[in-house]
Amino acid sequence: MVPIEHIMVFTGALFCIGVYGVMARRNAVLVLMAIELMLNAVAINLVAFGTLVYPGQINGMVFAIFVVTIAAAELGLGLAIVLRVYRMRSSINVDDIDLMRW
Amino acid sequence: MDYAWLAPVLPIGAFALNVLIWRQMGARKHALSALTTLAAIGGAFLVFLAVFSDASAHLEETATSSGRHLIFEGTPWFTVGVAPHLYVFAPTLVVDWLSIMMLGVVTFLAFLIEFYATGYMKGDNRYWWFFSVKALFTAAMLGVVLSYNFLLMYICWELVGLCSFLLIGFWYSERANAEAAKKAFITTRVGDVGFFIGLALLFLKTGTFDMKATFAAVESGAIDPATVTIAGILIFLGAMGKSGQFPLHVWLPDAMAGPTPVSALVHSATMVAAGVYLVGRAYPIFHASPTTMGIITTVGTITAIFAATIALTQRDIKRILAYSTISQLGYMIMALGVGAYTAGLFHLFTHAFFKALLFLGAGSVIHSMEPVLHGTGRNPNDIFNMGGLRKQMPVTFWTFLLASLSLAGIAPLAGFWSKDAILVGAYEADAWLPLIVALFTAFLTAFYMFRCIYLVFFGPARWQVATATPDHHDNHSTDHASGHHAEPHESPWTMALPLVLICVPAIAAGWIGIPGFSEAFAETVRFGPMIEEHINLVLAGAGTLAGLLGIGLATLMYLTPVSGPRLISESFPAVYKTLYNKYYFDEMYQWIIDHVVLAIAAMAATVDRKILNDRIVDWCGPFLQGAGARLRLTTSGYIYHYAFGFIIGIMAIGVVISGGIPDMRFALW
Repeated sequence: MVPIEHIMVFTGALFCIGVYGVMARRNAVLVLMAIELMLNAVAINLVAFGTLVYPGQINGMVFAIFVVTIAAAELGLGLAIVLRVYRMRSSINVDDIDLMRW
Repeated sequence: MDYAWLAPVLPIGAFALNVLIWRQMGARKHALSALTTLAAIGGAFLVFLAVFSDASAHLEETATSSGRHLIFEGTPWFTVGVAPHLYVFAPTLVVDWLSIMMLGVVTFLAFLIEFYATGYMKGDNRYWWFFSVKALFTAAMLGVVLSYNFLLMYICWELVGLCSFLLIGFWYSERANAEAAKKAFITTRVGDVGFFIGLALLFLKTGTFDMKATFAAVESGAIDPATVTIAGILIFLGAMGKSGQFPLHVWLPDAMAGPTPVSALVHSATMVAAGVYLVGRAYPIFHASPTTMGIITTVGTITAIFAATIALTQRDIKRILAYSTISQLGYMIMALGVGAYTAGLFHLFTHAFFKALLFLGAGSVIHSMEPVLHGTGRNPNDIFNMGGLRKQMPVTFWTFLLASLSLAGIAPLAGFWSKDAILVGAYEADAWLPLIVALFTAFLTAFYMFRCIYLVFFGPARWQVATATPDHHDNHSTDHASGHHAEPHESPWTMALPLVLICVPAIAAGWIGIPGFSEAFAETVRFGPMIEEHINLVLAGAGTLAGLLGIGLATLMYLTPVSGPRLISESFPAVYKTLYNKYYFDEMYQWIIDHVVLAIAAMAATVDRKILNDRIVDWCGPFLQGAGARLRLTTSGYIYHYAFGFIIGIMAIGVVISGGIPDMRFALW
């Protein structure tokens, strides 16, 4: 059995990479991918703690499935928005997109 | 007797009918509203008659038990407070002899005065409004009379004040009238504030506005004496305002600005009677505290003599009567203060009739003088412009004379018996100073009333002089030929008939209170056990003598050539001027308003403008604008900026939930 600390370090690293991606990437599609990384980190955590706290049960895995489902839906929406933005601005550089303000 | 509630409801219904329906009727609204009001008040008078005969049939019961009260609980209106200190307000009415007495006085006089007004107000273009307000006024007064709940009474009390404001300022297009209305409203409000605080104080202690419960609490000693005293004085303030007691009397003479039927009703049966009635109704509260009683006596005594001296020098016939009213109200209050409960209310009863008669007589005189003096620029109210009117106006003259004799306390007219009762009351209470003041006031009263009669009805016809030599200041007035050939004439029958009818009680109202002979009044309207009354010949003689002396002095000074009074006024110019200017009370109040009230107001205005407005309100806007301009920079529109804030926020929440940074450090170690 993999010790829980290892998994935590792994998921923590994965999450931080996701955060870095969201903050530092200019390409909107890459930002969306970075968000996927963060979601995956969370899903792994859910599975790991689920087996640790409720051994032999599937609570954590059900949650992980939920997360994957929602991630898929979110990605679908996100890509649609990116497409619309590209049509409008001819660019998917997030520096060019400052629509969400006063 | 459970239809007594109809008495106030009928006139208020008439008011509603007048202002809601008849108002739409064009020119017919005048006649319709006058008829409706007359019918409603007549109906209220019939209610009184029915209640009276019912109560008289049970006189045996009433005589044995001390004052039989018939109380009606109305439907609850509202509930205040939190459980278990709930108070359910229900309009409670009482029918006892005190309220029956007032019911009779108010409805009888209101009906006749209304009838008189149909003639007096003829041609006024707000005729219908006059009668509408009169109906409301009567309803409010009947409400005050019948209510057995302090809150209900206060509501009606304020309605009386409102209606008097509307009626005094009825001819509001003249500035002086509007000012008089305002003055009456504000001055009585000063007293009403005290009244209301007193009621609130009692409510705080007893948890109820119900009079019966309040009186029971006062009598059983459930409320500490200091509170009873303070509440009593505060409630008495309300009575002082309404009844024109010193020093809140200033509104009453100015209230003469209203039409004469208003003055007659305000100064006999309604507005000013309300104050004395309140003292009579809430007597247990006052009676429980010697301090309050002392204050009531003092105020009444001062008012009685103070107003009588002012009346000596006035020239306006209605003002003379107004000061006379103040003086007589002081009499009543004084009597109640020394403990002569029956005597004070008896005087209220008799005074209402003869004072209404005097006012209506004065109105009749003014009504006939107005066309005569029209265009000469001379005041038709000034008794020095009248004279010799007894030939032209015999009905007015005889009724006015009878009423004046009654007021002067000449036996066997109504005023004699009630005035005598007050003198006896003061004597038996060992109140020597009030007794002497009362006697002296009786002398002054007789004097100024006969001064008025001699100048109005006897002597040379000065209005002829007035018309023959018109004021040389306005020569064009000679062009008004129509006014100059007019002669004073007797008033139309609608005005003369009420004079004759009111004359009956003005003569006979006192006969139900003759000591040792017919004691119906003393048996029924009383506080505590009935007091055996017996005639005190010395006091009766002294009272009559005072009256006769006053009449005699007036005869000497005014019936013979008018040089006598001038001699006196010129030998004591300072005294004369002080009296003529009503002890400068109006000037004093004006000074206080100008220098104290307005100074405080100016300070408050400065605080408001400079500090509240300039510093605080004006500062709010720029502050918010500046803050907004700065905060706006945080919303850049870039996704990664928001995401950064989001992550920082999440981390902060994580820190807080996990119990703060130190714990986390240890956990990681």
